[in-house]
Amino acid sequence: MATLARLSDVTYWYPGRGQPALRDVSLEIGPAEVILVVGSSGSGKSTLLRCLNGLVPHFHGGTLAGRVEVDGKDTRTSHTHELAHAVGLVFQDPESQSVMTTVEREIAFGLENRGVTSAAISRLVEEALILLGLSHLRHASLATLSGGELQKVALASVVATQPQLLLLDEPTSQLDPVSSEELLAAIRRLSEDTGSTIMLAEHRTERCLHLVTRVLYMNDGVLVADADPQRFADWALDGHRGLLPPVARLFARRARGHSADADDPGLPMTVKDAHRLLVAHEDPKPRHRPATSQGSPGGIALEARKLAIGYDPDEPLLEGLSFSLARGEAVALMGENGVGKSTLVRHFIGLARPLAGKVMLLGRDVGELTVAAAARDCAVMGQNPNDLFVKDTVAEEIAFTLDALGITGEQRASLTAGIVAELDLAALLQRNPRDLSGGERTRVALAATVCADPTMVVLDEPTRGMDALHKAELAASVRRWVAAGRCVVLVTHDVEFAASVVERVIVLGDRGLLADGPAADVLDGSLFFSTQINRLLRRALPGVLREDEIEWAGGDS
Amino acid sequence: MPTFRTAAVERRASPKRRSEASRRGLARRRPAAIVAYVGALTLAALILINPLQVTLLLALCLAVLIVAGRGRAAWPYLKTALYIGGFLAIVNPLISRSGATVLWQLQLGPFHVPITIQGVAYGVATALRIIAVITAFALFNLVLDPDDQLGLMSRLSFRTGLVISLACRLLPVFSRDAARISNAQRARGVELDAGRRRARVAARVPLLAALLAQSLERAVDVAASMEARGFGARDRSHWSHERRWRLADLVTTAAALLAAAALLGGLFAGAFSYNFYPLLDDPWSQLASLWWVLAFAALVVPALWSLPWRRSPG
Amino acid sequence: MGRGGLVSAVQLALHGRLRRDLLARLLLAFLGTVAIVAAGFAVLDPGSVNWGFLSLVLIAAIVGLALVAYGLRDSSASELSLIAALAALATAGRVLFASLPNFKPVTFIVLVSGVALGPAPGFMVGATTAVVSNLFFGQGPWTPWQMLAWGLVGVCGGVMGIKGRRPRRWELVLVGAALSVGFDWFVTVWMYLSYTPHTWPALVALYGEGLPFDLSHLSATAILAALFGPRAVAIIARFRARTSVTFLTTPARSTAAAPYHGNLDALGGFDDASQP
Repeated sequence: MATLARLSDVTYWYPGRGQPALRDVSLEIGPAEVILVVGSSGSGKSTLLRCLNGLVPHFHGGTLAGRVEVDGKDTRTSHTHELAHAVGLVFQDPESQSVMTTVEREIAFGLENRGVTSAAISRLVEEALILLGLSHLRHASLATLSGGELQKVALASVVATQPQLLLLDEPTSQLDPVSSEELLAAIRRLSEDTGSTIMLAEHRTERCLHLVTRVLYMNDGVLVADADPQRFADWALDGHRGLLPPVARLFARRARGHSADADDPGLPMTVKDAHRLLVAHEDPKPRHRPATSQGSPGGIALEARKLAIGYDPDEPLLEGLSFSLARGEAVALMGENGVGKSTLVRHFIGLARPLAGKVMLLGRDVGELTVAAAARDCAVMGQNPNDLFVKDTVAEEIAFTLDALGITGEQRASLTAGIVAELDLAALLQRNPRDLSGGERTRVALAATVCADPTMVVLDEPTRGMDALHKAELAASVRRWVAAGRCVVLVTHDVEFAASVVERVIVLGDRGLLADGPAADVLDGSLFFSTQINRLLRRALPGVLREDEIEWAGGDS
Repeated sequence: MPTFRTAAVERRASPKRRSEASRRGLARRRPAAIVAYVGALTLAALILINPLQVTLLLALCLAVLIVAGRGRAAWPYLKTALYIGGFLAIVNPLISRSGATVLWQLQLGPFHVPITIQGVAYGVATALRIIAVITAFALFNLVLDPDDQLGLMSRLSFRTGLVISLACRLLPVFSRDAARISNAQRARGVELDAGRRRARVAARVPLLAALLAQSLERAVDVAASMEARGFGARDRSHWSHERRWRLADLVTTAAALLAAAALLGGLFAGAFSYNFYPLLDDPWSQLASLWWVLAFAALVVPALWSLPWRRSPG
Repeated sequence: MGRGGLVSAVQLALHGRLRRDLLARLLLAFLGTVAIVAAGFAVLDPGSVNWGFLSLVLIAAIVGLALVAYGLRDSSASELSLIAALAALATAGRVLFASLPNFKPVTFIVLVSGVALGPAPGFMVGATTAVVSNLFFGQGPWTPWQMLAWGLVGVCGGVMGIKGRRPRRWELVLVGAALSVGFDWFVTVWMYLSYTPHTWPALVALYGEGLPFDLSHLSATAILAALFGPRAVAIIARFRARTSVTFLTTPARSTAAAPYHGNLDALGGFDDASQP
């Protein structure tokens, strides 16, 4: 079997860092593999991928020990542009990948770099457009495309050069679920139709574990596990359950005693696999929902009265919105991409003015408050934590928010100490926020947002690109805040996360409110906004959303 | 009020290239042909001084604009042009003293300001000239898509064209980043619009810091993406996917070159110089000059060729 | 033959292997020739020269030469994208100050870019800014002047920051203010040469007309330099040249306690796990 790429005892330090990003990593990659790389942020997934096309070390600098061989070339002596013949890499951020202004030129860019003739470029560009379903956007300006479309263009641009090894570094983490699915479907088509090896770094294992032939798990720079999905799942049960899809976790708990089949199909990764397994064995039954640590909902924190929002008075985005949010309550705000969730949330503190109706924040009309005054009571964190970082150290960031809100003296000291302890930032206080990894940045952004102890906290898509570990931490924070009497609103597409943390769900649709009620009711039986477990068991056990609400008849193993 | 220094006329970069079939007039030509022709018109606008010649040129430019369907879009440019032209038409007669025929004497404070016919003519002529130049550039901006402009620039110097293309790609991204950063900071309690000018600028400095750092991070990501796609190799090719040269393109370009030659030749032969002082030269006699006739005829031909009465795609 | 044949013959010639930089050189040679000939006339017979035209051609030739010279340098992707980003920022930065009339942070950004990156990249940032902002706002005859003027702002910045020197705040304020005024005046020169009599009153009238805008421009650059100058330079300088790569010849055994897991040997019984 011909090896496409090989790493031998690779250890790598980014310039100026004491700790290596990769430690003694060795692995071999062959043709026609589909590999999933998982690991929390900062674990070295991205570094590993970049080793394979020469960006590490030639672009990033630093120190490299060990040997990386790709397509017969040693990356020590071969530059990135030589390796680009065999390797293609799609990056995470759709907006920071493109160089040209129109789609066709962008796709042609890689081909031009390789000196391909004009006629061949025309053909390859055409084919790449067709392959990824982008023909109608051929002349479109990149500035007008959505994130999902931009990622498809990036993929087309890389695929046009027909690399043997296609690397994708968290390509869906900045995308909404629908675009993510489209991109993953395109990747799957590529894996099936071409002989390329595909290496995909991705957090949401439930979307792709069933598509891959091999899983690599990285932790803190070490390649901890390297196996096919079933064996990986078996390994992950011991201490890394968060990496597995909910149905796998559910079935892992089923007692295996009477099912000693020689051809044990293993743990299911998708709802379809799980259905097949369900048929043959005893039915599970639900157990008591674990007592949630919610405080009993207190007074009204925010009330919307017949709110109409949008940019055009004749065509409002949403209208007739009337709801109230209480203290001690966790609410998820869901809806299709672009329906107006983020816009709505801006109205809570007066960043946008409604077309009609009003918003009452703690009893006061937001329209009569300044944004700064409203921000004192309701902290809103936007989708991009980087937007907040204006200072050179974490400590100064927190101080900046407190300054802006006019908090001084003893109260300031105690709030600062409090938030640092709560979000575990003591070690990071003197670091530059922009030097931190993704998970750390989100923590710092959260700290800078909620340090002033607001009554209400709104988080807009906080789990984008977040690994399982950090999601669990965030969920714990949310529960803590709710127990302390805050009202927490989560604008999110991540149904699994929402189901684990909120009690109430509001769904927005075209023109207004589609649903508003307990999570168990709204998410149950939903066509789109539903959890894996619910999709599996909705007929047998209506209203059940999470696998920890279920126990097996024969007892858990 | 705009001045010539800040003559900024905002125009939306068109999201989709106008499809070939919907193009009219000059816009149907190849970018290279368009540039040659508009270049010749601009050259004329810069060289000509005789008011009659300038007026004819201006009329031609306007006609080409209208036939190409960009008449309405040109209005902001014309407004700027009229403002600047108006300034020149008023100020120049007041400050020029070399004219021989005095119309009347103005008394501005301690100053005697003689208004002469020659001064007024000079003022009007310079106004027309600047309007013609701005109109020629309006033609360039409106008939040529930004992407075509970029493509042409990259033909001249690949790296420079790349930098410009990349900057154009990033500009809307950064604008959106700026808006988002402003909102994020406001949501944090930062007061951006309170106080005097200096306070408002000071409040925005942290935002500028964030935007600066963010932009440079994006630049690093883009550079990585470029290298990952093979940038940096020696033998780079250029994808020319424009359509072939048609007869109309050739005619336009040839006429443009001929006009340019006639204009430059006439310039160096002194055929295009025109004196306002102390007495006005006879403007009509220059219209018979061979250089002028050749240049103007060459400029008119492509315009006629692009009139919609021709059925063929050329 | 006939018309069709002629057309296809020319088509063939044009689509043939015409080297790209040949076009650039031809254009520059043309510009240079016109400039030299016109300059010759200027020297021999000053009265008859169309100064406006001559000056524009000279400026365009200078800018063109500088751009082509830059294009011949072997710039890395990092440098190119850094320049592009700063040029885009110089234009987009306006959005942050939208509610402040006539506040243009452009010159400030070009200046600090020059200080942090050096004279040649500084020139490119300035020139690119002019082209890009005019691509969006409309090109005009002032474009080559703006390109050269902002380019020179970048070069001045580069000279201030030569050999890694970090200018002090007050230096940035003074130089920034002077360059802003210089920029405005420089761009006005063409108007003066082309469209007004070459007299003192004309000069006064032209510069007087633009005085309020000069003041806004000056104050914007000066205030930003005072409040943010040194820090901006520091931020940009962080992103400058990449550090070099070091290769260790002997594989360094990690001293971290993490055991070496390459495949699942350690988990027992999965010997063939890494084979597809």
